[in-house]
Amino acid sequence: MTSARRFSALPEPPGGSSLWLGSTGLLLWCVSVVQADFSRMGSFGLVTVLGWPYFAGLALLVAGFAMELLHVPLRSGRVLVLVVGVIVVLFGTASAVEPTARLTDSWVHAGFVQYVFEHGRVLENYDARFSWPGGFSLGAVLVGSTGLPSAVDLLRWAPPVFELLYLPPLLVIARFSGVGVRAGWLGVLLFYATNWIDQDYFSPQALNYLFYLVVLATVLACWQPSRIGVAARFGGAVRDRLAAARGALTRRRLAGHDAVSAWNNGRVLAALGLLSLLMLATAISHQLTPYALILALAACLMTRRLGRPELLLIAMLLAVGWLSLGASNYWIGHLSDIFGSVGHVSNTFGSNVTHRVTGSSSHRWVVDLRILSTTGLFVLAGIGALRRSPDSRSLELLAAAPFTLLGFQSYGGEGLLRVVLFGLPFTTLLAASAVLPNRVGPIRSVLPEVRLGRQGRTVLRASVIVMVLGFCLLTTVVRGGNDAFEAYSTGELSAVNFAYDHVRPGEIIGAVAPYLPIGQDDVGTIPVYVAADQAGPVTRQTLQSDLQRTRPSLIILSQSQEAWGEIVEDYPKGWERTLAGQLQRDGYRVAATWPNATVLRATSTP
Amino acid sequence: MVAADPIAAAPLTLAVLIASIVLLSVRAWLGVTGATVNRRSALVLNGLIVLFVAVFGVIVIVRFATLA
Repeated sequence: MTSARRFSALPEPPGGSSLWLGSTGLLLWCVSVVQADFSRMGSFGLVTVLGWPYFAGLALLVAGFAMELLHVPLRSGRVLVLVVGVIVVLFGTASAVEPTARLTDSWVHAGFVQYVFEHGRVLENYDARFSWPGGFSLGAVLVGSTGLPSAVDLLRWAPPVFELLYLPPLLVIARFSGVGVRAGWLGVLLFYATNWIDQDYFSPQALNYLFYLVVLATVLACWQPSRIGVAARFGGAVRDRLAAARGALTRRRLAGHDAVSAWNNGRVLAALGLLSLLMLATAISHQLTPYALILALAACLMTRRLGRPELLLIAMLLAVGWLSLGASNYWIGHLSDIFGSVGHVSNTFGSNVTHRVTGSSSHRWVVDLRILSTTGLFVLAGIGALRRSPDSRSLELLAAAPFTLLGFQSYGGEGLLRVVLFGLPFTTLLAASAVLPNRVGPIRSVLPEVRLGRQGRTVLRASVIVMVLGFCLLTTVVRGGNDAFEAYSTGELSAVNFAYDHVRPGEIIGAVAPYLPIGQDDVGTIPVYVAADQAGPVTRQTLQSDLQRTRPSLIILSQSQEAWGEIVEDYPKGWERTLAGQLQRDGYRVAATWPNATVLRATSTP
Repeated sequence: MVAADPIAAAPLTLAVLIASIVLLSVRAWLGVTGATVNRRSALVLNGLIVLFVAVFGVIVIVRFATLA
């Protein structure tokens, strides 16, 4: 039974108050943003400065969405407005509340863009990221064409802008994924409600994730699975299902003959050409995305959603070709950085999960909640996979395919996060199918249909509200859970600017931990020494001895670095003041000070 | 033969890479348009694709092995 028929048999909901709920929710969000005091941020991060209006506003938006989602007929325009509202609340709050852009890496990327803009080329042998310069070059073009002084002006609002850019391809994926229309909308909202992974800052990966979504949206829109008698073969017995699964590797399937396209030839050829260009852009812009894309295209081919296997081969040639030719600066001499962790899945899992559950109790809480959110999503996705009757198992394979990457790369301890993110658009559509399963496909569901009776709409609406609001609240807490040390005050930015203004050629700027708005200037000419980034255990004694040994001309101490020590390393309160005193006894003097930052300058040899 | 110098090896790799992509594009174009191709021509095209992709793979592996 289609969802429209199922809902039309139920009582009509009360009149359209969803937009009223949504607009009130946004108004309350504005109040919470105005009232938020960044300087009072606690160890749980952003959530500690958000008052009740934020949570009330979010709840109203989600309630409005749930009301509209189950309205007959479905009013897509209203659903879209409410989804955009939730995106603005979840991803715009940090940008609106915090005075400068979050995350050091975004500032470093602005520095890379500035270097390309000023020199017209990348800096050789400086940073691995320069071996995939496509995103930085595009950033330089953007800076040049808009007349901005630098890319720094683009940093603060990059997350909500990227998340809004993801929405069109996500809607296309949802529409052509084989789930129902309502499950598609729910899946799209769940994508945002569970996306705490924080890879939407000003970065090549954020841009390439957009490319990844566009390529897969186009493939899913272009090719649909052909009916190959699956209804007869997919009965119910596990043996039959396993036998049918073997069809994924037949010669006919891998040649693309089991996918059909309703598009005319010219449109398909144009799409293939544009997708090849996008894959070239991805190959030269990011280390990981091209390989995730290869796995996703392979999943599409095996599940009758890709009709031209040449696209997969071209993606592989471009990715490996760039690695071999363009990125040779990165791998020559240390290929083990790329392939050293092949097959070491348990080590990769350890560096991605267990090694992160450390630090103070607040930090461990945040990390535990992240694990809870993702685990909950996967449990729901599993239920959705068992409840739905699809025309192809493409969503299941697309959600699982990125995990193959973990067998090859730990990606500096971030591999699992990226893998979850690459599968997220499909995992969330499966999770939506746990509540609103499509039952019209030829592949029969594993679980029997649950009949909800006359109160079905109310039960479904309550389920949607609980599920979406629960994930939204978790994401609010955990996404901004590190902001006590990953978000920066204007004082800290002033300290960094002071250091750049007063450092002389040949001198080094020093910092205790990599939590400063630094890296946006003087790329390749002024080194930044970060004591906590050095090999070996990080204790207060090693930080002090590293700084004393390296003796940077200027050392920036700040609130964010102090918070990092207290929250992540479990140092006692006031540890940075003790360190500052020790450095001053060691020949440093205070050069300038702000409410949240101090710059020390070396005056003499101790 | 592939030299130890990456610059010396690059033009060969690039040429094989471009040839592979061109051949794959031709195959995709023939497949989408449904152009009639006799069996022998199809075999030649597929054979060339396999050859060029294999050569590209060997060059990449040799480069990794010699320069890593």
